[in-house]
Amino acid sequence: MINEEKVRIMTRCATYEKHHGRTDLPIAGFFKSDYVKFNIWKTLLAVLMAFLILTGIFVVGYYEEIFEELNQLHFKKMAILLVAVLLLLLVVYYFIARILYIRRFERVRKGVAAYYRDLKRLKEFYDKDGDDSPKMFEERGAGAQNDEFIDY
Amino acid sequence: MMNLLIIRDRICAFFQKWDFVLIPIIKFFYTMIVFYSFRQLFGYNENLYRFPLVLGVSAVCAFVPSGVIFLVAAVLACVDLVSFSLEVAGLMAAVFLVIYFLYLRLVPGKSWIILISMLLLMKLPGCIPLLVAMLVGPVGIVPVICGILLYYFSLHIHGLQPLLTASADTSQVNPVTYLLDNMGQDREMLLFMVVFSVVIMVTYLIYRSSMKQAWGIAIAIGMTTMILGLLAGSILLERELGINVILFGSVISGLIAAVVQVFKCVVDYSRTEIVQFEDDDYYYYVKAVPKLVIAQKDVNVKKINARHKK
Repeated sequence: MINEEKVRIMTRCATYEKHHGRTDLPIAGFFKSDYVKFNIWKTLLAVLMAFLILTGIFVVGYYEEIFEELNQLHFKKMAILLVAVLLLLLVVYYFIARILYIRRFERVRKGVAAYYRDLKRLKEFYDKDGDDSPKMFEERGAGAQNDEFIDY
Repeated sequence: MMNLLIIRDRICAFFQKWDFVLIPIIKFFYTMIVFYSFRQLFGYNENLYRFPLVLGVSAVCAFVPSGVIFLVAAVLACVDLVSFSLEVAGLMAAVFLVIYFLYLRLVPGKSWIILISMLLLMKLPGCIPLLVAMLVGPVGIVPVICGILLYYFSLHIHGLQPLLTASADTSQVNPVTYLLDNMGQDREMLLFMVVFSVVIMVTYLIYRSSMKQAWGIAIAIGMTTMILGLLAGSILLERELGINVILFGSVISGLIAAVVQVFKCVVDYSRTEIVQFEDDDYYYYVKAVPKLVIAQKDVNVKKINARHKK
């Protein structure tokens, strides 16, 4: 006999896994501070890459002017300009990335919490029926054994 | 009005039911439009725009996320430009990379706005800020600016073509310097960037307010801001943008925005889900259809003691 409530919960879990499982569940494995720090570092690296590409474009476009400046030994002026622009970009992107990834983590956490609640209810169905919990609970790392679901 | 709402709800219901077919069809035509617009914007290598190739790539793109379509468009533009000039192709690739590193990496899923902005700038630029404000919000400002940048970049490449073909010794003209100089001095591009950003913010703020008929007022004020901004800009920059084009284009854009608002449910709706899973006893193949209430015209007004005209 098919249990309709169980099917409803399983459908909700499957829909969540289909749309968000690949992206959100790995995020939920991080501590908030670790996740935000890690992504800020990645963002700063990407900004550095973009800065290098932009510098490359300007060097190719204005190499005559740049060599002229270098011939006049204006190293210090050019270095200060480059470092100032890079620092400005890094600082701006540091704050953007920080806000963005904190918000993203909070959003993911809400979704994952609802998903784990559904898994917990599903496990209760199996416990009530006296069946062994299927492997899926262990595979999903939700601490299905001993009722240790992560509950945010 | 009631009939219009019923038609709208029916279209939404139809879209919900058949979205698994309709979305690939829309993506297919979207990719085709991107290809043919790129042919107008670039079009230096005709082999890339042969019908079987366009058909094949569009068919594949019908089943991939919008980010992949953006990647295909970027590769198409760069490969096309290789036939024109290797330096320009490299510059285009570098611009796409910078856009990726500085924006798309942080906010994935907004790449379609860049392409749509590029395409709409060719025919109906006024639509961009109104639609972006209504459908995306201020997050859409950066991709719109990127779209404008890429569009003007392609225009300046066209301007570079006679210079490269005229001079026998191509080493005399540095295409990168030419493009950087022209992009830096292009005030029309800057005008569009500023006006569109302001219009997006103004329209979005009014659109999200709690006043009655906020969307209608938002479109009207957004449209007016755009007309005034572009007119003031064209006077300040002493550049002929064409008053008829600005007025006519803005009014058409406002009308399109109003139609989009009425049928907005087609864009944001909870879609039908088809999922598969199993437990110890069964395999489940579930199709979950969201509930939708369609307002039917079943009002029956019965007049009692109707007044007689004297």
